[in-house]
Amino acid sequence: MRADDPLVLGFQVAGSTAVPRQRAPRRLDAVKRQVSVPAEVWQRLEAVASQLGTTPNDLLVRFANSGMAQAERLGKTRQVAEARWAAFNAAESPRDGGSSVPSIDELVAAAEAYGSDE
Amino acid sequence: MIALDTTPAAKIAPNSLGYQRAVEAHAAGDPYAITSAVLTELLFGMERKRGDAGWDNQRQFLHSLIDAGVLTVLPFDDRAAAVAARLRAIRRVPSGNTSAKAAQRSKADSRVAWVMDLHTAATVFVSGAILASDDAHHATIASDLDSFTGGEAHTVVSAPF
Repeated sequence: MRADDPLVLGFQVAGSTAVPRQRAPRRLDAVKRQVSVPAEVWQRLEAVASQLGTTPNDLLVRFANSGMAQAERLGKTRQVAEARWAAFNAAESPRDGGSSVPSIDELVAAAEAYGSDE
Repeated sequence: MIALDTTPAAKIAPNSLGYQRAVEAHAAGDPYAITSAVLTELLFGMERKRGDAGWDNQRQFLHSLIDAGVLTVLPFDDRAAAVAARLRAIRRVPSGNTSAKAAQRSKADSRVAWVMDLHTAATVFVSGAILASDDAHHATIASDLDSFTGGEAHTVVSAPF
C-alpha cells in the first residue's frame, strides 16, 4: 500500500491487498436497528470488509454515509440547476403580440445565422 | 460538481497530476465532469492523430475514464441549447485577442472556438455545475450568465491543474 493510493470510504485501497481484521469503530451516538440485508449483498460486504480490515456492519454504515452524501450533493446540484433555469426563463418578458410569426425565409435565415457574425 | 474546461481536461493522462486529482474526486463521490463540447474538442485532437499509437492509447484511456465514471459527461440538451442561443444572440465573437493562441486564430477559427465555449458554458449552467477554466472567454460569458440570474450564477473558478 502506498501513501498516494486512493481513499475509499475512509480506507486506503491498493488493489486486493488483504488487511488483518481490526475492531470496527465504536459509535457512541449510534442507535441499534434491525436491518434485513440481502444474502448476496452481505456476502459481498464480508468479502470487501475482510480486505479493508473491518466488519461488514461497519462497512454497511460507511456505504450508507457515502451514498447519502452523494445523493445530497446531487440533490443540491439539481436545485442549483433548477434555480438557474427558472431565473433564465424569468428574464424573458412575455409579449402580447398576437399569433403572427416570421416568414419561412426569415426563420431559415435566422437559424442559419448562428455560425455567422454578419 | 466541477466541470473541467478543455485545457485542464486535456491534462488528464496516465500518471499525471490531473489523473490523480480525478481519481481522488471520484473516490470522494464527487467526480469531475466535462461537457459534451469539451469531449468533442478532446476527441477531435485525438482523431486527427488516429493511427499514432500514443494518441490511440490516450483516446482509449479517456474512454475508460468515462466508462468507469471517473469523468462524467454533461449533455448539451434542450435547456443548454436555449441558454447557448441567448448567449450567442447577445454577444458577438470577442474581437480582442484573449491569449497568444487566440491571436494566431483566423476569424472563422475564433468563431468556432467561441461557439464551443458558449456550448460548454450553457451546458455547465443548466447542469448546476461550476466550470473550472482559466480561459478569458469564460470570464466574459460568466458575466452574461450572471445577468440572467441577478449576479448569483457563480459559474467559473480557476482550473485546478
